[in-house]
Amino acid sequence: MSQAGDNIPQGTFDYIPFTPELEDDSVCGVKQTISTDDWKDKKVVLVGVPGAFTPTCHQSHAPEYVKKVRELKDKGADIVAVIMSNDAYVASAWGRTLKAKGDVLFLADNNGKWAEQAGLTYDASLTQGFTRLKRFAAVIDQGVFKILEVETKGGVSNSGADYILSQSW
Amino acid sequence: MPVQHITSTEQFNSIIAKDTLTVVDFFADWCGPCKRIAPFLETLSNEFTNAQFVKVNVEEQEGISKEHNIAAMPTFLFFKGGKKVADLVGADQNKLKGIIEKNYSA
Repeated sequence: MSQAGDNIPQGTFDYIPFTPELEDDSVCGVKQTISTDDWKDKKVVLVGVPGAFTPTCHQSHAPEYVKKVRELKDKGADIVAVIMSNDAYVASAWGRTLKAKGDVLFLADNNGKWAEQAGLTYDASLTQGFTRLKRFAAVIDQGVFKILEVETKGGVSNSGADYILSQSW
Repeated sequence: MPVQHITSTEQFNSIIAKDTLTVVDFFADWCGPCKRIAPFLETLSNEFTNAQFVKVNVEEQEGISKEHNIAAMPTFLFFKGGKKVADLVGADQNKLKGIIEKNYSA
């Protein structure tokens, strides 16, 4: 598994850019791609979750990041993103449910291909249908994991927004 | 005039370069709101015969969609002489017709 100080793997993610018209179903989103190469000069707070709409992350993990996105950006984050192995349409719908309004990106790492290279996935094919991401939070600075907190038990402790905000990065 | 389907970037650029108003509908086959407004666009194309009406399938013409930053469908762009004069995101019939009326010259 990757650790703080390691380079992040190279990869691409799908996402649907937020527009207000998505809220009332008068439009369909156009799937776009973002590459980790786009993060070379950036500071990114990346939050991994086992899945969109799953109980723990829906109740407290990702929503806290949506709530505290301003504080994270004030602290120096250029991008705050939640990543999961669902597809881009599910990721987008979840982001809208959480009222992220595009301030927090909801990215699809298809079948956990990117996260797997960092050892941040687990096989959930028999219980949750496909490969899932471990619950984690990372601060990525110019392509390097500056902080990487992976939850080993259920629930949210060091991967929570409050803990990440309390660290220096 | 029937709504014309765009099959290449060159074709698209030569059509929007004309001085008459061009209405571009960015759509996808699976997009419900796009389907709902398509017949209305046909009606408008018969009413405003001095304007050009074209459709761009965002999945077949990724280059054009990227070039114009299409993030949702349907998106309507309005051109005159190669310049964008207006845009509209979403399947809103009244707004669509309003923008055409404002920019149309018979």
